[in-house]
Amino acid sequence: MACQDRKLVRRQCAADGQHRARGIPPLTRSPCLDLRRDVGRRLPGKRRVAGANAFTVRTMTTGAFAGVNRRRSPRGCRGRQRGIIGRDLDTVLAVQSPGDRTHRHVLAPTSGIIVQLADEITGVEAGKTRGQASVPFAFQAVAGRAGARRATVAAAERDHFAGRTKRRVATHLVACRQKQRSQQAEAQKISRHRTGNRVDGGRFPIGEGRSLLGARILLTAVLLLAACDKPEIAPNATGGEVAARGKTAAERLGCGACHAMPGIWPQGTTGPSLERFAQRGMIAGRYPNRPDNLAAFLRNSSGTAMPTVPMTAAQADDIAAFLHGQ
Amino acid sequence: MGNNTSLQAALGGWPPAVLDPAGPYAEPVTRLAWALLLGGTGVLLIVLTALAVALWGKPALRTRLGGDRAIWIGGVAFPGVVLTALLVWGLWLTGSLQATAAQPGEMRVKVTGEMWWWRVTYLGERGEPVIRDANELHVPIGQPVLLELESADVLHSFWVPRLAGKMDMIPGRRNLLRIRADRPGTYGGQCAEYCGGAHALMGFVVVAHTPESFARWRAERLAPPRPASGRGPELFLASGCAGCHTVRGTPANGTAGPDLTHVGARRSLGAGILPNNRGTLAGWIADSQTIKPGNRMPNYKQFSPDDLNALADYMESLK
Ligand code: HEC
Ligand code: HEC
Ligand SMILES: [Cu+2]
Repeated sequence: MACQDRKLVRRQCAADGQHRARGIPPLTRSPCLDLRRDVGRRLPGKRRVAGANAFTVRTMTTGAFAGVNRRRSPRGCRGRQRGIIGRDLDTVLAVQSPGDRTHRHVLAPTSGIIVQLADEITGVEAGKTRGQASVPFAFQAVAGRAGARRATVAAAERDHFAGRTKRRVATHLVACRQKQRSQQAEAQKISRHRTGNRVDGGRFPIGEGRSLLGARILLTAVLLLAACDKPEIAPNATGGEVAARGKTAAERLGCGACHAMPGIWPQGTTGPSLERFAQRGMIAGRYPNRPDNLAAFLRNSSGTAMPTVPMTAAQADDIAAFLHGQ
Repeated sequence: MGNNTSLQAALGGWPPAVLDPAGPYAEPVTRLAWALLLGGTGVLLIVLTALAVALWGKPALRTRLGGDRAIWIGGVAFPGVVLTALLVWGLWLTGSLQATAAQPGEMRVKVTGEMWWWRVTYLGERGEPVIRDANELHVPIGQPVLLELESADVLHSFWVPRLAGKMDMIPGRRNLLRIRADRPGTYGGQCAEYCGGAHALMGFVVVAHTPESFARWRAERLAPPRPASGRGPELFLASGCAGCHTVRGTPANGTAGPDLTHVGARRSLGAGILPNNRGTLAGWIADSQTIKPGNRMPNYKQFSPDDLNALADYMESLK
């Protein structure tokens, strides 16, 4: 691992060298480095984060953080600090560095996303094994493998983390107000880069507390610029992995026998249509329509006209995310 | 069936892989199909080459291509030899697929195509019905099973791509088909002859068991039915379900619809189109006409939620 870290640093130095040679300011505070520090602060010691297949999570679980953080010294990169490294970042770098001169620009916003992901993941307590599957997708997308326009999508996927809706809605409100106030300014400040979203004239504001929230707001704002009247960031987000899992679960459980659900066959009529369910006020006329309530209702609908269909907690959460994602 | 691929994946064996034989009665079909495809491609290449020569070849070559010899060889000898060889090989290869009458001790199952589901009757030594079921065929692995295919109404075709070729089900006739599965698993099947509105929704599965698990399955099916409790049985009789459905051990003895003695143990409902659980059972009973338009079971919209759930619970308990 240490060896890998050294390799990463070397690679980063080499990139810096090239940048200097081309007159581009070196990555003194590259978002990526910031991220490492950031994640480090958030993860004192080896904190166990339960997670299935997200590779960030796996990295964290295996405790692969004994990394380095580079402190710039005049002669390049000798100084070292104890810090944190996520191995996944290597992957990101490795994918983006070779032959891609613009990777710095890419790194900025994508790291922003990564920070948020890391933040969200560290917010997940041990034992909660779900909600993270959108991570690898986001990583792949931001890693450039999925092509130019996917970084935006990836950012949207992030918001499909189950159980995060409250924050998302709050963010959305802030973003909307921001939009109303300074649509013009915002539009100028944020331009779309060919491989992602970029904030012109500065690095993506990541860091602690406020600025992290700022990053989130800004990012959300980017995604919301076109769609402020919709409560969802990615309308009809069939791409979201959680939502997609939810859709699969709903198909396999045969919810379509009684409900019309988007993209699911059959479209039964015994129960109410569940199209655009996120806009419903009440679940079965009795519970406030929140994803957690929805999941609980799905697991036990006794007392209503709907039979309780046996399903796991994870399936219920996924279906709730699916129904709220459209 | 559009969107329900993953639903069917949940049922197992769906969608059936057409080019992945799992038994000796499907293997020759696949081999023949590949041979025809590859051979056809070869011939096509030869023809295209000849065409290219005719269009752009050197004059000498073109002359030779137009000569008597080329025509005799390319136009008569080559196709004659290739087609004859193919015919002989094909007949030899598929000769074993011609199902002959039942061997002594061989397992026999009568499968009757109905609009739009499958009546499955496991036959005894003398051809008497022993176990009645629907939409699912249970077989032990490694041993040929003789299927007697009939139709109750119109043409259907029985097709489990991984176990055998297609065989039509013709009213008034009994066609024989042997299948043998070499590995345990579920193998999807589908009606392959247009038979009316819900033809596309007429699927089934073949479940291949290890010998022990098959013996267990058979013992379960032969055991006397357990009496059911609750309001379900009563509702079933009172609502007219019994006029079309049989539940062994109860007065319900209708035969217009599938036998429901073991409906709770089926992998799917409505002939392979829905997963089988309390929810889909209730949904099917209340609203089968939306799920499978035109099928021959009426909608039961009159039930209160409690009654519907009681019926679904009863159906689910019929394992
Ligand atoms: C037997 C038919 C049936 C099945 C199967 C079924 N439901 Fe329902 N569902 C109903 C009925 C009836 C209602 C209305 C309940 C009420 O208001 O008392 C309902 C209500 C709901 C609601 C609340 C709708 C609203 O407008 O408030 C949701 C969400 C829901 N079902 C989801 C599901 C999911 C997910 C599945 C698959 C696991 C499923 N249902 C399977 C019959 C069914
Ligand atoms: C008019 C005859 C008729 C009546 C009455 C009837 N059914 Fe059916 N039922 C059918 C037919 C036919 C099918 C097969 C439909 C198909 O798959 O195309 C069927 C299918 C079913 C199935 C699915 C079986 C399977 O394995 O796919 C269930 C469960 C069922 N019926 C329950 C009931 C109940 C409960 C009632 C009473 C409330 C009832 N039926 C009344 C004719 C009837
Ligand atoms: Cu058919």
